[in-house]
Amino acid sequence: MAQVTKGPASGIGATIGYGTPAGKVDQALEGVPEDQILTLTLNGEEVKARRGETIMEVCHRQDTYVPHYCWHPGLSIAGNCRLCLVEVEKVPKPVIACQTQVSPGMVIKTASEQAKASQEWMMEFLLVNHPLDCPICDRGGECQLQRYSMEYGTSHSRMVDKKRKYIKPQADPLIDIERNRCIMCTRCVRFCDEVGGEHVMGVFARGNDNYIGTFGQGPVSNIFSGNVIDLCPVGCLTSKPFRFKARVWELKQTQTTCTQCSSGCKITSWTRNERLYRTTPPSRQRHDHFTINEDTEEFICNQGRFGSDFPWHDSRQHESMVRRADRLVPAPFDDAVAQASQSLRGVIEKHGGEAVAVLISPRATSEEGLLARKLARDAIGTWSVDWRVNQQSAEAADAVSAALKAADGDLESEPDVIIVVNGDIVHQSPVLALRVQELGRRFLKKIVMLGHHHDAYIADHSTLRFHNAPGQTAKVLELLGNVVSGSASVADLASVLSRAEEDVQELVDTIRTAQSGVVVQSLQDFNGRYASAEVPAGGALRAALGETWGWLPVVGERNAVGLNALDCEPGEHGIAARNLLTAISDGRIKGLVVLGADALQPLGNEELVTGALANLETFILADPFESEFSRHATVFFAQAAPQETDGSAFDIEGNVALVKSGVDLPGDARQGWLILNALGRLLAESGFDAGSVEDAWNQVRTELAPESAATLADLELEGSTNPAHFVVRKPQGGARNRASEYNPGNYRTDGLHVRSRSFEAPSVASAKAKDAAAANEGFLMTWGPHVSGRGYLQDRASIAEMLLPKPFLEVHPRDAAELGVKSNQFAVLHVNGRRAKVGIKISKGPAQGTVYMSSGVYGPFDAAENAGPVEVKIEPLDELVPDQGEALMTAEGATESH
Amino acid sequence: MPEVAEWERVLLPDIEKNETEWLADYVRKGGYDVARKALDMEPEAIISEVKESGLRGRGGAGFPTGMKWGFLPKGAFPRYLAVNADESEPGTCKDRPLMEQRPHTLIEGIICSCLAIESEMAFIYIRGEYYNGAKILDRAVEEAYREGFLGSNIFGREGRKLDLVVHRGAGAYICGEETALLTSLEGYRGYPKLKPPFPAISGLYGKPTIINNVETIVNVPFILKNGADWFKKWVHERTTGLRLYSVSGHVKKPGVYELPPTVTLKELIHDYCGGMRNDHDLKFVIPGGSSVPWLKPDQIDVPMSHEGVAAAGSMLGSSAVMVCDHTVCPVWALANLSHFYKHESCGQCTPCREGSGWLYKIVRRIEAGDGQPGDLETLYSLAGEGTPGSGMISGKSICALGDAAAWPVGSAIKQFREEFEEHIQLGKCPYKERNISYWMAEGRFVNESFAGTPVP
Repeated sequence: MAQVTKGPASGIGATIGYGTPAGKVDQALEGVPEDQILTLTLNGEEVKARRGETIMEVCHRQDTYVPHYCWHPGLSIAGNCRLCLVEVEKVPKPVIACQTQVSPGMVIKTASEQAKASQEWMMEFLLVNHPLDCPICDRGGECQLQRYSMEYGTSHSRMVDKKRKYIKPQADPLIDIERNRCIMCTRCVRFCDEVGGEHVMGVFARGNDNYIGTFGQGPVSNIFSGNVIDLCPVGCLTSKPFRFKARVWELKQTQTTCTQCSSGCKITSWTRNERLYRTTPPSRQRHDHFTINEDTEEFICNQGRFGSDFPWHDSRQHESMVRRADRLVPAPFDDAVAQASQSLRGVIEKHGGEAVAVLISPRATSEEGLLARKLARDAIGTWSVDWRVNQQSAEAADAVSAALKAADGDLESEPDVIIVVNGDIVHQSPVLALRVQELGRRFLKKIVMLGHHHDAYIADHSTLRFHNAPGQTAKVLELLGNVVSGSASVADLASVLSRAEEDVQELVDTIRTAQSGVVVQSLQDFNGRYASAEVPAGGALRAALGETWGWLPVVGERNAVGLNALDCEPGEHGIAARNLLTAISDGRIKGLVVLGADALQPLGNEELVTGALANLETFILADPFESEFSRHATVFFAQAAPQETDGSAFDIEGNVALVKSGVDLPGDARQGWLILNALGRLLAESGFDAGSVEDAWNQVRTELAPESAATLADLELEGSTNPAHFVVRKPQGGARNRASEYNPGNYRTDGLHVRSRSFEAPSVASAKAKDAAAANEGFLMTWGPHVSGRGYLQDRASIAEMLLPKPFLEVHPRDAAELGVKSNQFAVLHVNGRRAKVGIKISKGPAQGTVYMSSGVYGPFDAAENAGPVEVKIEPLDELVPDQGEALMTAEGATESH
Repeated sequence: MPEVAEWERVLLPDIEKNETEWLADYVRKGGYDVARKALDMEPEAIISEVKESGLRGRGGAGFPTGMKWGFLPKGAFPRYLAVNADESEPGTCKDRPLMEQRPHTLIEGIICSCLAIESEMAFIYIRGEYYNGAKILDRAVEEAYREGFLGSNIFGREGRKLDLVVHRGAGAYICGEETALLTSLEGYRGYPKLKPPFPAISGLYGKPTIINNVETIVNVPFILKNGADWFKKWVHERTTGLRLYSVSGHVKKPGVYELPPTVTLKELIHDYCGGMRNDHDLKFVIPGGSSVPWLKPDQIDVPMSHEGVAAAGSMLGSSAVMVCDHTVCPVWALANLSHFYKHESCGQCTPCREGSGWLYKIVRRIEAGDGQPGDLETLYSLAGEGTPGSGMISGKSICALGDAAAWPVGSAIKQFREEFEEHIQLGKCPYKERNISYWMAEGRFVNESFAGTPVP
């Protein structure tokens, strides 16, 4: 049996499928005008429904489960599986519940003879060609076909003829396609079209011989592609990395939060023998056990799904080590702590506490952040504690801090207008981008794109798009704020944007007429090169827009909001992370404490960093891995990896969530908060008395929300056990509050939502970055980070190479036409005197005259090398990017067995 | 050949000549006068005239055309007219001569219909295999554009416009289903859409759309010209007007016959088509295209109207009559039909996709002599009794193709149960040996074609 970390919350365990607590029923119809509510009879019971709702939606709200394969609450209605046929009185034929809208006085029977017979027949049809290979099928144990077969099917099949068989393609490196098992629900096709944003999957051939596949046998190329594995109700699409590794019922499930980016998705870690087998969206209770919910709307990105197994990399270090005669030798944890405190004390006594700096990984939990800050400020006596390692400069880092402090916006409130500024957000905080896109796609909110680079994924569902030159964004935002508040004219803004006045007027009207809105501003492009100008400008725009608006600055670091709120920053007294290397070579810093070596890597190239580390008198490193950095350590602590740590972390919208370890730590490894606490205990007399992570959490809570009484366990709460997550909503009307549904506790009322209560525009006192020089000939190359790009932790994932994005250069359609290049064509890029071969991707993202590429993807474009936009030349090649599957596939298509 | 009553022929007076009537000829004979007249009529007047005439769709379902036009939501524009020329139902071949011989009658019908439904854009979705038809229509449309009968300011009227596009299908039977036709026309995979909303509310590109069969549209100018009462001269119950009957199979003179609905199936076969080939015995008739239930020889004395055929337990459908003589093995014929539906099912929804394949596998197996006891029960439960809504497929699918695949199976078993059982018992098809002896006896083994008969 599956072990779960938390048992059933209530007695709904016996309910088939999903239940809705009584309160939810009324809640769903709350605020709906009286004339929009109608009464109907469902299985003999009189119920109320909203006009325009489908039978399926009403049934699920009323806790009446109707079986379905093709219907999914987050996708469009296909109506092709026909499993949800129900009886409606006075209608001669059974009708499909997923598509039929309710009408007044309708008498619906979901379990009548006719409905049951229809469901049984559909099950028999689906099994006509489905192979009986459950024992070797990876879906076994969590298969909807198995489940429905037990609940709605018959025990035998009358099919005696040979079954249809297909050739097995090798299209995607991550997703295995076994077409014989497919029931053609087309969930995957619709997912790729609608959520993935790319039409990469389709139905091929016709009739009984049809099958699903990808166009050109290529991979499913979007960053959300892994979700088709969970969406697939049968064993057709399975996870290649997980294939044949374990049966799902043998795995232990832990409800936790992803540690990869600032979206902070809820996930379930499936572990066994202290090893992570797979990561999925949260599993849900069904009957008496937990399993993947095929109807989940909580889509996660591929990096979180497939890239979370880096702790099990070969370089994992299990023992703490101390330096003895130029050699690191394993030592018991207590000895290592003693040694570390002793050497730190030495530095402090010799050079003063100010000569020590503390660096923490932006993935650190809030508890680790708090203890690191206390260690620095109280125990060591230094201001130099920092998490902002990815920003290009200390000024950029300060701007980001100021922005996060002032941030008051989120997407929960479903704002009418979302202004998205800059950033390839879908590749930086994928699920945040998905939620913005969903607001446009499903909830028909207006999305406005501004900045030098637009997120092409969101732009597909935007209503207005205005590009500006790199470096001009601050000016545009400021001017827009002035236009909205009436102190500048539309003509001024139009001239800066080089667009017609009517277009800009439309933009201004859209903003003015909005009831509410949010400015989503990415601060990640060029690692924040223009942040010090763009942050005040964004703040000024937000201030001009008024109280009903919010401001949501976006950075990709996992716990940026939490660490910022806990003030793990040097302020004006200390040395910022970006200045650390200089400070070390200046001799201002003699001792360094680092929690997570992924904080060291972005500071510079390896040579530079290790060179600086060699100059230190003492270097205390806590990290899971043996690396170039660990070799220079005075004391090395084997630390738990981010996903092996217990604690809390905040997402970019300021919501707190539980990070929970699903495994016992290997060897002598310790969780970060424990290492810091032990170190602090030896260095300071008080303040480090946390005996458990719960104590550490209490300190965090006391600091951020003294009025709250939430325990760490409360954070888990409903996320895992509440069957009420399943509330179906129509795009129009009906509150959609994902956070309060999916996240534990109502942290808003608990005061655990880190957002400013009253908006105050941030002031950033730093020099403005220079504007980019206009390109004389060729293009300006712009870039931003990628969640799957190269990185200290990302590279250690077992399939890091597969997750690494292909080197594609995004080109504006008009530029592409001028160059005469097509999507998927190769081109030579001349940059910084070097040449590189890249693929061309025509995209709505970059402004005309600029091209975009993610950094950390392709060697020649190292982020550190190119501080800002650089001029590049593109030389098209007469060669096409080959499809991944091409070489692997020889023959393709449906073959019949008889 | 017995004397038969000669009927006035309206739609295809000179079908035997097989000549295309181009614009000059057509105009000389008074063509496009009706369209000119319709320009001055109120749209409601045209619709009420068509309603009055009792014109029913000629594509198969027989839905009253005027009523269909009346479903369009008021004030919703643009509206589209899609002419269904995807004539793919086995046995049906009535639209082809209409398009190839009288393309301008069709265009005039489209103009009149578009005036009635206030549409400024019409499409002809023509079956991909009708290459000649498409070529002829293309030329005819070009002629009409050149003469100013199509395009902007038609017939010189300021502000009145109508564009007509001829679109060729890519060879899918399912695209003759009205909503699949629309998805195909939109450029997508030819999948039927979920109904409701019906096309009259949300059809092509999400706009109100009327889909009519070629023959239906061709009738419109004649109704407007001669009046509804003229059209009702030929009437049987609620079926009015002359119809085109496509007769194929084992009759002496197969072809397209334009006759009133009062003609009986017996007259059609034995009088107009000259009786059975080689004076064989009649085995069974499929009276309305391949998807309708079969009729046995004792059931054919019925008028060929919707009501008449329904009374006999079948459907008039597209009035395509397929006649099979006693050399035809019903199991083989059914396997042939089932293969067609298995092959042409679009594969979108479960009952039709899996059901059509499963039906075919079983029927083919029985035909090949591998039938098992219980197969007929399985077939029966799958296909029902050949009536709407019975069985596991009919009434459960998105469009009517599921029903169409199931009905012949149910009715064939009902009509010829003993022959199916004989196949299963013998473990082979008894017709093969029997037919050989027929042909040997008739001494025509070598030079005759045996279209429709199983080759041993």
